Amino acid sequence: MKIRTLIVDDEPLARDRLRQLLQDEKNIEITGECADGLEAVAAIRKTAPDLLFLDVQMPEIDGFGVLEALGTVPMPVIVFVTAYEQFAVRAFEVHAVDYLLKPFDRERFKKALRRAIDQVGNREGGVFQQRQSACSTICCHPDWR
Amino acid sequence: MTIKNVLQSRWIKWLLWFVFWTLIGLSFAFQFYISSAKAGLEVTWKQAVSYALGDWYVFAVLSIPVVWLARRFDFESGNRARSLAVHLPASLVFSLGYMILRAWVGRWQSEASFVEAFQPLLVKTWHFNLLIYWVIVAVSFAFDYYRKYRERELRTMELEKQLAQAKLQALQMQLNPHFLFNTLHSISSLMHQDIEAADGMITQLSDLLRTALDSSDTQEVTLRQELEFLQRYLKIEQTRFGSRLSVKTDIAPDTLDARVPNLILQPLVENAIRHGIEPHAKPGRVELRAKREAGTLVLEVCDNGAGLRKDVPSEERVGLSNTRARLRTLHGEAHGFELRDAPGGGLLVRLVIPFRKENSGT
Repeated sequence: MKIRTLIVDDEPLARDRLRQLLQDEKNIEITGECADGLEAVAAIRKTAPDLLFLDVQMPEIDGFGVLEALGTVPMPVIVFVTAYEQFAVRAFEVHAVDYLLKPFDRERFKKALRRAIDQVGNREGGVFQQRQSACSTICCHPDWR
Repeated sequence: MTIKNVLQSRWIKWLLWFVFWTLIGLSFAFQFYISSAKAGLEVTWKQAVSYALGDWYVFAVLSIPVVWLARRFDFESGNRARSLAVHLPASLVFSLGYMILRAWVGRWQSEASFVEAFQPLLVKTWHFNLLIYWVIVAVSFAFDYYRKYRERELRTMELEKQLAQAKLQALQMQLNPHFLFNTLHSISSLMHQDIEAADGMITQLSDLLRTALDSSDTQEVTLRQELEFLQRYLKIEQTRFGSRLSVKTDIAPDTLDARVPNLILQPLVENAIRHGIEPHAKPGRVELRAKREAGTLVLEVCDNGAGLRKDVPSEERVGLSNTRARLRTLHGEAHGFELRDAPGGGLLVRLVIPFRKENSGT
């Protein structure tokens, strides 16, 4: 089964970049692209994607605002994609699986994607809950320091 | 400066004034005593000092209106004829005034009547008084020139400081992670679709950085140069935002050679994009306008965002406060700078400065 993926970024070229990279992946299906926070909330509610590539600084509501607005809706696996490193700690707090700093190369992207695919797999295997609580106690992934 | 300081400095000024004329008076008293003694005349020290101080304190009193006149009518090019027309009759009045006042004061120093005291003064001091008038005027000018020179020097320093600040701001904007890394990310994306466009964007980014890193301290550039710099910045932003950002320019051709402060528009346009365009999903528009209006150059930057908002954090306004300070230093009160809500919504920044062409001084 393909991983249903949503791209959220206000800059068209940034969306292009993610699409280019994701198109080469056989087990990824892009379900949509959103250019601002409000659109993203609506799209997530409607299509319930498995994986979300989420920009932080966006018009109307930002990436964290999107997660807040979703509330109790089942959360997709989240990879933040941003030009700022200072949001990393907050991203960790909301259990993002990775944090991609723009600009990034294919290798770094692949690493994030592998991690995300693992996470999606784990969720479907029902181990998501344990994984998540383990994550919040370890909280020292080398890439986030 | 506190009121106390002002009083103190004023006090000291008058004290110095008094000491200055007293010293001149005393030196003349000394000279008068020696020359009288040599000529075999019997003059006491008391008499010599009293006469000389009588002379010079009268000059001291009369010099006050002279200094006032000298300040009002200087000899800068343009007002020479008018000033000469004031100072020539004034010097005659000064000389006459001196003789009248001195004769009046003289009545306490000798038995002579006013007319008896006046007559020798008229004969002996008439031309000397004229000379004193012009010496006072000259000294007053010298002080004024020195003061103006110092002011100019301070102003130049101030301008250099503000330009450096504007450059730093431009550099900060470009090195701001939001702009720099997003731009690099756009280039990274473009490289996979359109290598020419990616190339172009690298060039634009380099040009922007080069201008901001430029170490020359050119205070003013032509509007054409300023707009070229802005175009590079806007092109990058347009590539990043795609259809979300449109730019409209309405520049009157006769304004292109007008002189404007270096990097004056960039913070205004950046402000329009960051607060007028970026926070909104709807398509944004930045408008740049320049026109000539009765001896002034009117520059306007307009966006269709939220307009004047009280909730914009004060540090975001730093760019605009530096703009204001620079305009004041460069043009004094002869400038206008206002922010208001644009007729169709959004913010309108309007800047009015004296219209000056590249190759003419005025």
